[in-house]
Amino acid sequence: MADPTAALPLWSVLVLPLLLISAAWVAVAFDAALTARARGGRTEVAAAVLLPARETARLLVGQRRRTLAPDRTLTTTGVVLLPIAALLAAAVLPLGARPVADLSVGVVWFNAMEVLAWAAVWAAGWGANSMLSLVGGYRFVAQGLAYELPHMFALITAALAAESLRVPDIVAAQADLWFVVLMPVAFLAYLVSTAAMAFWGPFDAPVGRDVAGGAALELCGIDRLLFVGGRWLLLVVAAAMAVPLFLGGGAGPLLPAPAWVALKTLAVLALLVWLRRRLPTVRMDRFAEFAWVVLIPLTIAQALVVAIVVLQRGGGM
Amino acid sequence: MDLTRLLLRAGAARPHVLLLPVPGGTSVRLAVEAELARRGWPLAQSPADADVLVVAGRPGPRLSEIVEAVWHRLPAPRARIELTDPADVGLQLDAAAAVLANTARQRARQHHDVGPVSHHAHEEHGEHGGHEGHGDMGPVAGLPMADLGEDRDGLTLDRVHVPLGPLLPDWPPGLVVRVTLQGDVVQEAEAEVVDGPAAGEVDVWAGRAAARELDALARFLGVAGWDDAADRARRLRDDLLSGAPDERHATQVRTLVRRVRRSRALRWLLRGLAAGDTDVGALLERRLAAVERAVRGPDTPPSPPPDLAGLARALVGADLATLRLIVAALDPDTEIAPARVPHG
Amino acid sequence: MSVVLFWALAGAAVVLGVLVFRLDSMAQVTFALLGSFLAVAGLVLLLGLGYLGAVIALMMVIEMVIMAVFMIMFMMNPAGLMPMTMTHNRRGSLVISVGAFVVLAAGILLVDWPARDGVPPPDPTFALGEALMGGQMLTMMTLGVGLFATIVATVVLSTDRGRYDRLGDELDAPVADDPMGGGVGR
Repeated sequence: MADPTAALPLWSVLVLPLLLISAAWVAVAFDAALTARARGGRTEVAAAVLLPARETARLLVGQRRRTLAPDRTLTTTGVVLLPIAALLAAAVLPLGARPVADLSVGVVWFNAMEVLAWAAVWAAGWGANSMLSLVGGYRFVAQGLAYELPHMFALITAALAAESLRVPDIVAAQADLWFVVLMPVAFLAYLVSTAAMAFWGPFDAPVGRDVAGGAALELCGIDRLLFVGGRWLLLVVAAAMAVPLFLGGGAGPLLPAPAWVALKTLAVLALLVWLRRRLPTVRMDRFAEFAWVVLIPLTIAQALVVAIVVLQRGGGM
Repeated sequence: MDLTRLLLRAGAARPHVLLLPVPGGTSVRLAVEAELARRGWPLAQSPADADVLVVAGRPGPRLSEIVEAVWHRLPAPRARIELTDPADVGLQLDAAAAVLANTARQRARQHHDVGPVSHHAHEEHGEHGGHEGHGDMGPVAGLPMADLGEDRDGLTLDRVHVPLGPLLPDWPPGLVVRVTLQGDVVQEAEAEVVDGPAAGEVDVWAGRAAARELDALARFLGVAGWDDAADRARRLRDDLLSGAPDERHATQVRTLVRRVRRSRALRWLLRGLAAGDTDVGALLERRLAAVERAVRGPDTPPSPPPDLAGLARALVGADLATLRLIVAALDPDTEIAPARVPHG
Repeated sequence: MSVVLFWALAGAAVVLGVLVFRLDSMAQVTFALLGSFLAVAGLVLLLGLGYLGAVIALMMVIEMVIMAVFMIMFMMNPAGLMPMTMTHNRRGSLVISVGAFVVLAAGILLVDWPARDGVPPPDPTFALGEALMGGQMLTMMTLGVGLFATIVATVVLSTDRGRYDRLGDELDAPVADDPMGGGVGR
């Protein structure tokens, strides 16, 4: 199943979390800078850059409080599962040209690992035995049901155009034309699902202000660090996956492939972070119908168009 | 040892502040919010995320109980300030940060986990350990059992009795809404103001109606999740409060109102959300019109006393998110003693 | 290495499966079942069936999370705050389950399995796809349509209000009559 000539050597397993954490660091700093600018206070770059370190220090020293009659097993499971899901999903990300694990079913693996976030957020919301926390957990399940099918169709369309489920093959298939041009609807559906899967931006109802933090309401100390950190990692991984799937991977003039991958990932992340503050929170009682009645037919139609193009090119059997 | 001290100091440079507004403490609350925005310190959304508890105003007996319960929930390292004078804000916040960085004091403050809380002090910010046993077994962990009831869709669901408030983000100070929920749909609601001001107390917002309306609008936009517009409204409110309002501010306010009114996303989200007789969209339009009126001329009437019974009626049948939007759109002014006694 | 992994995953699947019946909390039971299914997905991956293993993991996570919602809605003791037992007719079920296990184990150990003839296909996913879409296409289409019809029928039978309640007798109401409007107005 794994093709050893295409995967990176074993030490990359240690490098991958560091790279993801660096990208998350940049995203957190950017978000902090935008927030500071909007609030009107100091917008020092140094403060924004140091912010992830300060927050991590604060949470590492924080005491873990418990609510009344909690389910510690499920809280811990949920909180630990979220960053693990992000890291496992990142195993098939090409860092440059080659991924850490070159699975022949890379796209399906990515999808399977990021849905672990459903279980993680629900468990974290349930475990605290708190009403608003529970509401947050359930909101995320509803959100998952809404975004998942358009997400899957977007992934399938990209795999269809490359006639392979291997992520490096999908990158190679974009040598003449990036998929964002060939399948724009799928790209937009993928971006929407990126924000939804990391409950970010307009899709942050599960941890929203109106439920006082939702699924993350009762998490303190290291629990909170793992949950919030896991959420950022998931956002980074999902945004990074848009690069090989739709934006041509490491292709580009002058710079080497890893630099282009980093630049494109940061561009997608910047867009997502910027969008969070600009839009009101989308509630699931509105979005669910929209996702099922509008997004799914659109993504299916997009898949049909791409399938016809592939057959025209002479692909398939 | 040293690592702990280093981490404490790093965290104490930017503590998360949980702001508990008290009816009558509006000027303190405004001063605190402005100071926090200036320093770049975030406002915590829940006690679990907070380092510093700031009580803005002088709490009455019931609110003091709640403050104690909330203080019990803050994880160490933690600090607590009770502010009654807006001029003290900067000094007190600095002192709180110093307390946070003080390793010895924090170690002495580490306390054990919460045990079964007495039911009276349980009026916290909406968390309700409402988990039930089965059949005729006794209550679990000192909590009452939920009963069944018919609901909107013809199902028979458990009913949970939840007190929402007085400590929720973007929530009127001192307001407690006791709801009976099935799922997250409100079946019954009852509103009251805890430790509200006695009749005839001075109007804090005298002559500054535009700032008051912007404050209410910022709360609504915060609940709706539109952070950019909410922060903009708060900045404009602080600008109007800090200096004499001039034409530039008026233009900026009008631009914000136009932006909120024209937002298609917000309109899509608020379309058809019933709130009693009207809907949330109409309530928002009333808010925006009030902002425009306030910024146009100084002679706006003072805000009416809060209609708590009307608020409770408007909440029946709404789900939790809609409830928050309705309360934020109606924004009962809890600084003024209510005209009628709330039913119940 | 793969032998160690096999026994670890098999043990995990069995232990977590037993936990489904030993734990008190329905929420924890759902997660134990999820863990058991993920261990089985790992075993399928060990057999070299990459696509099937990943798809099993994907489907099982989504299904178990949805099942958690329903388990907590319908079954007693969702939080495990009271001791609870989920088993009924213990003697009968023990006899049946042990008997089934003995029969299956005997079959696995005593049957004369044929030796492998040839090599596995270079791309098992492609071979699977070809078999499903080629030789077994009729089966897949029948199954797929059958499953879809069952889902639709179940939903139609369970809802209280149908199209005519929502959209009027001529199905021409401008906006659907729902207690909570959806995003598209239908």
